Amino acid sequence: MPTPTTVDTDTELSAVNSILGAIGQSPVTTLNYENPEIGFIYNILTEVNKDVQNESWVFNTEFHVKISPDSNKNILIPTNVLRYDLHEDNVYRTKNLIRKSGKLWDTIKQTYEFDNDLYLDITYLYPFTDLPSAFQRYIISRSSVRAATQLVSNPQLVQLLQSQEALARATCIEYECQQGDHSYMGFPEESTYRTYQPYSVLYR
Amino acid sequence: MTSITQHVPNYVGGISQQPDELKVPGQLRTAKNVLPDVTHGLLKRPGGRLIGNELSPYSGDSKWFHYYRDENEQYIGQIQLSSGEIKMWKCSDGTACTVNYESGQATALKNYLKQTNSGGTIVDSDIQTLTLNDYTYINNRNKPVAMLTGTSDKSPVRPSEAYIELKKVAYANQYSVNLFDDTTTQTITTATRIDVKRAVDSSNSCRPPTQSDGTFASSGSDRGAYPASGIEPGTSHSSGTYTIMCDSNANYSDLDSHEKDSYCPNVDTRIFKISHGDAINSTDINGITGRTYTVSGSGTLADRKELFFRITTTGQSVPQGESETPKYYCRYTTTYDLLNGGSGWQVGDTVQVWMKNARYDITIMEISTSKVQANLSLARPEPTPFDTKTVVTPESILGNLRTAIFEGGDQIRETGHHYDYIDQIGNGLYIKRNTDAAYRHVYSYGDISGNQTFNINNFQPAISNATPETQIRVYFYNGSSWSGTDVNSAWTNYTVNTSNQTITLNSALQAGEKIEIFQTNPSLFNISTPSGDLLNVITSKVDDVANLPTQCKHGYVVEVTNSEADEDNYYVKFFGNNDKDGDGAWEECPKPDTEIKYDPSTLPIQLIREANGTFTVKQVTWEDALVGDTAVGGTNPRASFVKTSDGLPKSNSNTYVGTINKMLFFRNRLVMLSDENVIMSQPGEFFNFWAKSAITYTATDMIDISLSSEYPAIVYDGIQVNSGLVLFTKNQQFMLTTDSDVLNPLTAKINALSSYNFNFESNPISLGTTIAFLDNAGKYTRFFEMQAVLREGEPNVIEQSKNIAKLFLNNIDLIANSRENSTIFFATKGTNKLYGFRYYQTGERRVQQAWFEWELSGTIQHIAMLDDALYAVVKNTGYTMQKFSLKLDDNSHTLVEDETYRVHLDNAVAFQNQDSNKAHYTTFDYVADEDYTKLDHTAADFSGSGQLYAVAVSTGTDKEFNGLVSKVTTFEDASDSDKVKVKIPGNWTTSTAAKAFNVVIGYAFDMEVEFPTFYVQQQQGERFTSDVQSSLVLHRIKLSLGPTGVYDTTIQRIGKPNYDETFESVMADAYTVNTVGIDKEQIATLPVYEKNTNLTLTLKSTHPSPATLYSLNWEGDYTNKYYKRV
Repeated sequence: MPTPTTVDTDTELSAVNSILGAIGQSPVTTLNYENPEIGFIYNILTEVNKDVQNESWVFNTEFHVKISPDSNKNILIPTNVLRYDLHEDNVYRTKNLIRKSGKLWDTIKQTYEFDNDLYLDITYLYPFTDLPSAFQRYIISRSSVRAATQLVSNPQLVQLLQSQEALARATCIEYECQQGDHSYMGFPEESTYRTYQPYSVLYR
Repeated sequence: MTSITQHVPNYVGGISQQPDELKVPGQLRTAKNVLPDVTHGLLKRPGGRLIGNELSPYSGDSKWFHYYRDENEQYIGQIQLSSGEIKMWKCSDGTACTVNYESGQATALKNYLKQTNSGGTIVDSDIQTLTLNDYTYINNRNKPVAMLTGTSDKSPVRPSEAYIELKKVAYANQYSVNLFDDTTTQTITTATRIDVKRAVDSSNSCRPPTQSDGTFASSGSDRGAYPASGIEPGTSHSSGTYTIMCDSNANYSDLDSHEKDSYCPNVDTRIFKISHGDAINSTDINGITGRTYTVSGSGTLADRKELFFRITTTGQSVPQGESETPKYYCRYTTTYDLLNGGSGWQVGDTVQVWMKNARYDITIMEISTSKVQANLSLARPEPTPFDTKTVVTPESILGNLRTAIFEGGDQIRETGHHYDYIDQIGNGLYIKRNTDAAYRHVYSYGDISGNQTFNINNFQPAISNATPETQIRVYFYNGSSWSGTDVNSAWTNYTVNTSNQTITLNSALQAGEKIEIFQTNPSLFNISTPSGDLLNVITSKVDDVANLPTQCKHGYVVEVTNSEADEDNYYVKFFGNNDKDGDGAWEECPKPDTEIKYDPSTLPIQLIREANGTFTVKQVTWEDALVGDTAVGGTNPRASFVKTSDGLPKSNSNTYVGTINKMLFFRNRLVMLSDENVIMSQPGEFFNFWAKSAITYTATDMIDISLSSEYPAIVYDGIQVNSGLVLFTKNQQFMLTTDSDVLNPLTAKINALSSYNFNFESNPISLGTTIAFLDNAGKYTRFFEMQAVLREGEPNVIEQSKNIAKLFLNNIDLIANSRENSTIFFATKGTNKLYGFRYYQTGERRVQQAWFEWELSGTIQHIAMLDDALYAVVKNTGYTMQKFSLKLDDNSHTLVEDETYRVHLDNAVAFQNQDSNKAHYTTFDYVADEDYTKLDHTAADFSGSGQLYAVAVSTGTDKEFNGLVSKVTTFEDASDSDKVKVKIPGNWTTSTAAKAFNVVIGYAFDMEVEFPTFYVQQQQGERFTSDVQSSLVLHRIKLSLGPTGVYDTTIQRIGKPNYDETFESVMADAYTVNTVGIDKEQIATLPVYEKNTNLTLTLKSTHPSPATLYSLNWEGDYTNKYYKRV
């Protein structure tokens, strides 16, 4: 069930400055990637961003996405995709897809070639600025821990930042729960079914 | 992994080319255009302020030099090597000074300065300078020193003169002298024994007539009788006729004749002086007049002269017979003494003498024969009286001697043409021959064959060569006067035939006419005397100073020879009181006719700063030798910088080769370094390079001492230290010193100090308490510092350039040092790079030894450290003089607020538009259409390739424009005849007096500091150890900066792009209005995040604003990789 997302105000610059602030460094006005510190922090930010989105949250995961082979019957994997998985392949074991040379490879038929469209479950890698605020904050906190570890090697600071990171991750879980509308009932996409809503009693 | 940080407290250690791991904290890889200062940190070097306008020097190769007179007056000078011309400029305002040349010396002075070496080249280092107050002495290493050889430049030629001192006035002596100038001898005979017989006395003076048989008649005479007056006693006729010879009544009429005899009338004593032809007194010979002494002998009787003897005849009356009334006759006894043997007498010569009518026959029994040299005069004056009845005075003796000298020969003459002098001076005779006419030959009418031609090949001394006309001078006497009075008016009416050495008169001599021919070669003569106990004869030498007379001719010169050795000979000159002949004193003097003057045109010259601000170039007045023999090896030898190519006296077959390499001052003496010799003037007498006395060494004598070494020991330079004078040859160092309190020729000594190569094209310098010098061996220059230079023991020599062994190129020829600032600058002429060495000593410890380099805006021609500023003559298109003030001075370009900041621009000029009477006045014109300001920069040279900046420096109370900076360009102003002007973007004009400002325009330069690799360093005592095996990842570097404007940092990372960052000390719109954008202190943090060995950090400042680096911190992760350091 779609719900409006929280308005995002963080940018990469603010994220880098937040990390710089976390490790006691002066903020910068622009992201000069030749600046070793900025480059370093930005790299951490990028990595953590990837790490966090790799967990396949509700905001970056789409199910039953139709992917068509190209003229060579190959399916190229775009750079903004973190994961591909054949939709309901726990039911259909005719294919098993992996990434090989930037394309999908069927380990069962041992081929790059696919004759038909595939329906895949996809985890996307979104730019930092497109992430929900909770995840941005989580990524920043987690990056700050790494930065504190790698840039200033300050154990006390790492410890402090880890507590903030934990809180931020809790927010993400809460976001996931809220936004995921998860149900153990199970029903297909593009259908409607309202179950008993005992949690609604908690509304206030 | 440990996070660590380390602090580098300063970066004033300068450049080091050691591996980074060996560098001590504070050293750098590159330190360009900086000035390391232990107090203020690593500063951006001061900019070069343009002094005055462009110089207008000679364009050819030139030697530049400087002259520091005092803190208010300094000058830069230029000597054009091709012409030897000099120009001077004031360092205060760059104005050119007038340089005048001493009248009549200009050509010689310029020739001296442009003298090339034997290869025809001259280089800068050939010209050396030395300054003392208003005098700058300039020396050319190529110029051989010579002596002046002109007649007037030598000591006076000794006249042909002699002095005869009367030592003693004695009776019965002959004061004889011999004058001669050749070795021919004359034979002189002197009677040594005579026989005297009394032939006629009163017993036989009246001889009886001679009878026809030849016997005397028995009567007609009587003993005691005398012949009549006019008849020679004792004579008789030989005619056979009886003649009454004796008139018994003539004289003793009242006595019997025997009684007359008994009275012994012939008793007498007398001293005779007999010369052939002298008159006999008529009273002695019975009134006969006109009788002369006539010598009987062979040869020329006229030579028999001055035989002195005494005859004493005594008599006693004795009775004759046995009668009671006996007759008394006189018994005579005659004795005689030879008093003086005279001259010319021969054995057997006889002569009759008379005494009281008694005749004595004198026979020469023995003679002595001697041969004497007396070709000029054989002077034999009359002996002094042999009795005391006659007074003998010095005047009479000298007078007789004077006469005798003139009479003793025909070459010493009192009259005639070109006569000689014999003057009585005090108790002596001064004899001077006319040196224009050493020999005289007189030819009168009739003497010459045909009265026209005669030989001169028989002259003595012989006329030797084929140009006899140069050796003779002829004067003509027409019977009443001479043809001329001196050399210039000598007679020329004759012809010399050189083939057979004859002279032919153009017209024959007439009666009464004569010619005198003088041989012109001056001839010194000598005098000898056989009466050495009576006369002291002096010509040119005496063997003992005690033999010198107390009275003499003023100016008379004598050599005192002392022993046989020449070394103790010396010359003395008589100085009569009030410069008159007579009493006086003898003083040392130079040897006659010897070279006593150094040629001033071959010796260093002087540049004199006159009181009116002009300069005068003139030769130095070098002192003449006042004593001794100035020949090499003489008793007062010339300084050894006068040397010939073969070591022999100067002649046409050799040349002067001795040159002067350097002049110095040492212990109040002017020192000349020449070849292997060190020559020092007399103390306080800087131009006197002679000994005071030839007799002995004195403490104030010139010192001439040489070095000895197995290497070529040509000494090029020197420098004074506490214990002596350190001398520099190409390969070694020596010390001139003394163990005594007094430095003199006997105590001076030279010790070898060390053996290091020395670049003789540079000069050693003093670092205050130590000295330093350059070595030019190999491709790079070494800079040595010599410490603990003592009289005894080896000095400590440290190569201070070891740190920058490959940075310091060879051929460094310019050095300027400031002991007050502990800074030395080095440069090679023609390059734009300066090397600096800064040191700081606290007690025994040297806390700073820093090398750095500067790049100037053009090629360097000369550098000079004058007080606290480095002056450099720099060439771009034109020549400029720039001043780099190590310490701020009143004229430095600065921005003044609560602190004073320098404007760091080279060739910088402060243009002002407020006072047209002051320098660099110009108008600032704003061109509104194109929004720029233009100004005329005629005075300055902005033709270089560097980036020009303009900085506004407020002069009014309102500082609105203070510190305004802009890059500027030059352009041709079409609206002003394409004049090249400066274009400053924006509006740099103001009409408000309070906001008035000057515009400083100059070239920006790069201050650049490259840091070494950052290692973890541990200090162990004095040593620092870098941990090169551990892993160090630098996180960030924090630069602690002092007053700094705009600067750039660059982090070079291996395999990655450079990280450049420009810092502006104060952020735009974030500082107080109307203040300069310079931060007094700041810390700049540079992110690194790189392994230490992968990065290079460079700090750079090109902006006119200051830049100062205090210290540095780095932070990073460090691990020793778990290997235990053992």
